[in-house]
Amino acid sequence: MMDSIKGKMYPLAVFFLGALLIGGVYFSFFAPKEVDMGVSIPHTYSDVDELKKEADLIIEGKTLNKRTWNHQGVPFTLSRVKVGSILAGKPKSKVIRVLETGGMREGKHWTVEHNRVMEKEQDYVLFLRTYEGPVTNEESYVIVGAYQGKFQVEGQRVTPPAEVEKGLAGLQSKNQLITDIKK
Amino acid sequence: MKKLTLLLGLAVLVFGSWTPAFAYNLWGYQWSSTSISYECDMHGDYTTQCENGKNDWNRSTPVNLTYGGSNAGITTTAGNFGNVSWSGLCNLSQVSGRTILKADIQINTHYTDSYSSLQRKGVITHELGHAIGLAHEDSLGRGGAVMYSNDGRTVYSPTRDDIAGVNAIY
Ligand SMILES: [Zn+2]
Repeated sequence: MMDSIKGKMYPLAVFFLGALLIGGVYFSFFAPKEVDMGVSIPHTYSDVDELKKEADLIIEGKTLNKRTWNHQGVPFTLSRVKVGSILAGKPKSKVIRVLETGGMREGKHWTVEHNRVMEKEQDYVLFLRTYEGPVTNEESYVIVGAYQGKFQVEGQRVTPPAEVEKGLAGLQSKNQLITDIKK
Repeated sequence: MKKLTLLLGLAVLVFGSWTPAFAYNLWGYQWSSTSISYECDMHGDYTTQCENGKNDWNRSTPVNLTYGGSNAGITTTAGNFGNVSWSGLCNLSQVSGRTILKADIQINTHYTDSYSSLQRKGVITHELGHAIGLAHEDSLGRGGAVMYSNDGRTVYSPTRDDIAGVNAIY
């Protein structure tokens, strides 16, 4: 056994295990953990067409910054989003506010159906509705279906939200998504 | 020999450090005992439906929800959160590892005020299911489980599947 762990192999193995140990300790004790909130939703959207019908505004935009607070014990996050292109409707301004349930509190990601709130400085295609309610006084939008109308954009690819219907979960190309929106 | 011991020791530490990291992403939480205190801190028909939902879980599963007042483990409240696209939400506000210490349920009256009593009961019973430790079950369709994820569910009490779920946990 010892004969096989000789020469250069030994320091490499120690280095490799050491790196894994640091990673493990980081993820177990320091990395933000995820706590999913158990929701009941009024409606599950089956495709882009359905999301579209419910949206006042559809845009592609970039998140600038965000703020998380608790309202009646529930974490909410308000993100400022710079509107890049307008795909449907008319935004109230060039930078809009989007209210989401969840966010980072006490070192944990509070998620809805394992969907985290939007990340800072990230592009998204968003299906939005004007927010009506007491959680914020600031003029803002909410995402259609809480998390269902939110697609993360990386170049020409989109990542659909977690735990959505087949008609949305299969979308991967931004062109396809935009074609479906403009159809 | 020393070298081998160090390698093995490191390997054990590595295993130990990574193991708990993956447990958190699961909805695999439960109470330490089947006797759990609750409070329906609501009004009118909401209180009635919350009590009905609580009685359902008590009747059909080993879980025994007992009245605990304002310091209860599971508290259910109704309030208006606006059009945020959820009618009910269960927040595990205190957990220790995989053990639930406190679960706060919010019912969003923006939606549920226009629901029938039965649909309201469906949302509350569903949220109580989360608070006990159940996740969603959509594969059986609208009528298969009270843990069906949306308010199109056609059952408002725990089904055989929901009950089997609770039995598997406790
Ligand atoms: Zn749920």
